[in-house]
Amino acid sequence: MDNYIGIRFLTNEANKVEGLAYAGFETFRGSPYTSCARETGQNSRDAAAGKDPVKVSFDLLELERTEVPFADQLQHSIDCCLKAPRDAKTLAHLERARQTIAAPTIKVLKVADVNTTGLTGPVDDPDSVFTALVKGDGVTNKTDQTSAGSYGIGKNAAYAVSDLQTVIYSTRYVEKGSGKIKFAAQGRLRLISHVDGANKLSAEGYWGNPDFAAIETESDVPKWILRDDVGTSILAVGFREQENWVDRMTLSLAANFFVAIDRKEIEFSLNGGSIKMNQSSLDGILASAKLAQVAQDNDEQLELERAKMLMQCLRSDATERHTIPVPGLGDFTLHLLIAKDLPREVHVVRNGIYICDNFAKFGQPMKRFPGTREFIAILEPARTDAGKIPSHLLKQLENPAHDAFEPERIVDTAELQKAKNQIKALINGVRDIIKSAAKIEDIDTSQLDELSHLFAAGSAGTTPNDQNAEKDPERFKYGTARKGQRSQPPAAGGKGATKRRRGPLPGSIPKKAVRTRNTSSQPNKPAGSRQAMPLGDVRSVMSDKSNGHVRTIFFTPAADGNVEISVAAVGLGDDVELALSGTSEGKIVHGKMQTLVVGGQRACIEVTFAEPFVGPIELSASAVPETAVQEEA
Amino acid sequence: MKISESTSYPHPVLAPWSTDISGSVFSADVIFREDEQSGELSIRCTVTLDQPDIVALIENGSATFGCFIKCQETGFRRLQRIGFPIGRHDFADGALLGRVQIRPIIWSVKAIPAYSPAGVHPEFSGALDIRTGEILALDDELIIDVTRPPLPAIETIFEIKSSDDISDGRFEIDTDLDRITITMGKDTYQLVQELRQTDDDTRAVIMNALYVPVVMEVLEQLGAQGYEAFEEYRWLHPFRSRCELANVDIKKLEILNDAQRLLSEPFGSLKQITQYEGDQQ
Repeated sequence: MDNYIGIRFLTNEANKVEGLAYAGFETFRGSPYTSCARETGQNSRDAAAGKDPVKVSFDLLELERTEVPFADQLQHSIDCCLKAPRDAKTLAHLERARQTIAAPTIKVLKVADVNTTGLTGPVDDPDSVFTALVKGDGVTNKTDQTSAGSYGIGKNAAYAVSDLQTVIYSTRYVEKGSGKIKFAAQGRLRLISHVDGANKLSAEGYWGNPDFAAIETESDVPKWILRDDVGTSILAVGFREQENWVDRMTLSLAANFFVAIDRKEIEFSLNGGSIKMNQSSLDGILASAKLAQVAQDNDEQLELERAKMLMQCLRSDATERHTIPVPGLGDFTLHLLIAKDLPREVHVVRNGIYICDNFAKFGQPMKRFPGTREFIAILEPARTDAGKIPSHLLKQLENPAHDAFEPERIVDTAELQKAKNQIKALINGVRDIIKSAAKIEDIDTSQLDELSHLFAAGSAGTTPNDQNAEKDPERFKYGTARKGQRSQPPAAGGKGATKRRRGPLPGSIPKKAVRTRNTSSQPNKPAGSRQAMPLGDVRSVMSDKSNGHVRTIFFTPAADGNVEISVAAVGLGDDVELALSGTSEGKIVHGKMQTLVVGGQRACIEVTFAEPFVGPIELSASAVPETAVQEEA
Repeated sequence: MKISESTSYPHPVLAPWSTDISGSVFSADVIFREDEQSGELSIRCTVTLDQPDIVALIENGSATFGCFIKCQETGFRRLQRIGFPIGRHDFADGALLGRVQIRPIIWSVKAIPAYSPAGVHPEFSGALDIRTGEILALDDELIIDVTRPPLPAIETIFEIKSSDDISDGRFEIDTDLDRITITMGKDTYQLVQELRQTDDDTRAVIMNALYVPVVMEVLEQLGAQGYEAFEEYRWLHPFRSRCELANVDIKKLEILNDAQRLLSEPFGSLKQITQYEGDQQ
């Protein structure tokens, strides 16, 4: 490994006093796991490349100290920091950092994404995404104006889970122009301003090549920093592992990204895949008792319940979807579900990520909807081109904590006024739709049904008074679905359980290959005159997938004798008989196979279809009387 | 889509009636909840699947679980994706009616190269390439019966009516009709309607502010005139039945207490209004 690679701090010629309380980190200190999950997830979501969902993994690595190439250097720097007089809180933090870096093993949280662009370079270009993320302060690394992130502050969330306040960025990206895959890695750390020998040093340092340059040679970094695919890895070195970090991150991801997950825009994996959060698993995760307990322990029940209700709004067939055009801005979509026991709330989502439930700082708290039935709604910029400018406006207005829209974030007075008017028009549009769709009935006479359970013949006469019970349980009937009856294999001669139709499957079987069951080998003979022969454990295998003509069929006949077997293609509604042109056993008679079978003995026969067919089939068999065999012979 | 237990697929399908894949189970329990007022139906599925390769395909997004739902009466036919291993779907009011067939299915949503699940029958020689949309697992068809939309549940004996002849903030009761009719000014009527339909808190308020005095007034009239005086009106029989069930004797009335008994102690429901956030009860 190159000897020059190491940690280097900025010099502090002005004797600036820099403590631990760096504003960028402090934003996330109160909820480090929740923030780290949300912010890193959002960065990955915004760097999506291609049509496949972005996949983000959160894994804990436990490294031997010797595997961390800068451990000695970092320990030395922390020792230097400890020499400077500091307050008790700083001292405690630095002591903990020293213990962490001096320990025989060092924990690292690795957040890695795939199906993303990675941190595109060039790494020495001040305008590149790599530079914005690794070295930028208050600079966004998002190239898309409608991306979810706003201020480039979210990247600091990873430092909040590192006892060493040290994060390494590693990426593989496609170089613009050449199309080559490039690698880059660099670390950034922040301690306190300190003196090392004769050198006055700043709190901020970097790990990488000399002159604060990124490492671009993969062989210069240890394996745990390398990547296989294009994408980004963020490695929080000295991870502060608490007992329930996985659950807290799971809760944060589920509560914030449920829309993007449901739309297959992003998937998460945590703790070596012990939790996989994707479109399929999201329901189960949101409903799990464990997550409910984590939410309760961390006072986040509201966030969890909100996510569940909004999922219902997103998926229910009863949800109405309305487009709200805002003049001069573009389109929004309102997903509105009207049902009892919903909280009358409108929640704003952007880029599939939850934001908040109000525009309070625009004088639009959206808290009262008098004269309406109970509902819940999701409001988001339309997912069309007409929603791009609205999304950009919301991005401008969103605060770094992602929990409010603040008009004063637009500096230009005229632009600010325009934005206020547009948001007002939007909210008026939302209110108009809700008033119209969820309006309480306005008629002159109304029957008081709510008393009918008390004052009616045959009524129960009492109402349940269990506070924990579902509200108004009498409205609901619960039941368990019962098993239906299995269908029987079709019998030959038109007596099968399945319906055979005349004519081909649309677009699959040419007419000449089709025969219907009643135009079999003996057109003058009444259908169903042959006795059906049950075939057990039927299986069909295409030994050569590229050859749709040939199929190997396996079955176990119920009895001995000559059988006639016909094959039908299974269609959308009805089946269509397939004409056979060849067989490895017996013979073909009028498009069907006739062969001798032994009851209970497995049969394996290769048949050839007159026309290729690669889909599912059904077999039907009937015993062939001896006389018929002789006639046909 | 036609799905039958007798169909033979050119690739292994895990199903309770098939030996294509042995040693594994795929089954789905479906619980349904029917809102008897609105006719809306929700189904909740809990899936048991212990075939590790198919589980992995679902987890990595190559396959998905859902149900093929058919309702002959409404013509509803849909392959509905549902969460795995636990999922729920809410259907719109009236979408399903009568007998509904539900077939749990796992199908491929991406091409799966070299598919060779553990336990595959040796007659499937070698790995197979699976195209998008192929069935990988089936369970037995499940049936639910969705009841018809609510006929007027239990006919009510109370009615409210708006009238220009009554000043706002007041209401009057008329017991000389088939239904006990409460008449009120237009704004008051609108307010009552909003309170009735807003939420449980406001419904508790209206129960106490309006229905308690109404029932007290009816009891007073019954006490004074007896049941015989109201024989011709349809409201009498249900009201009388309710009195008998609640042990209210109109010859020995304690009007305030009796009204509360008939309405199942409505004051208790007001408690929720004053509960502070975070209160457990």
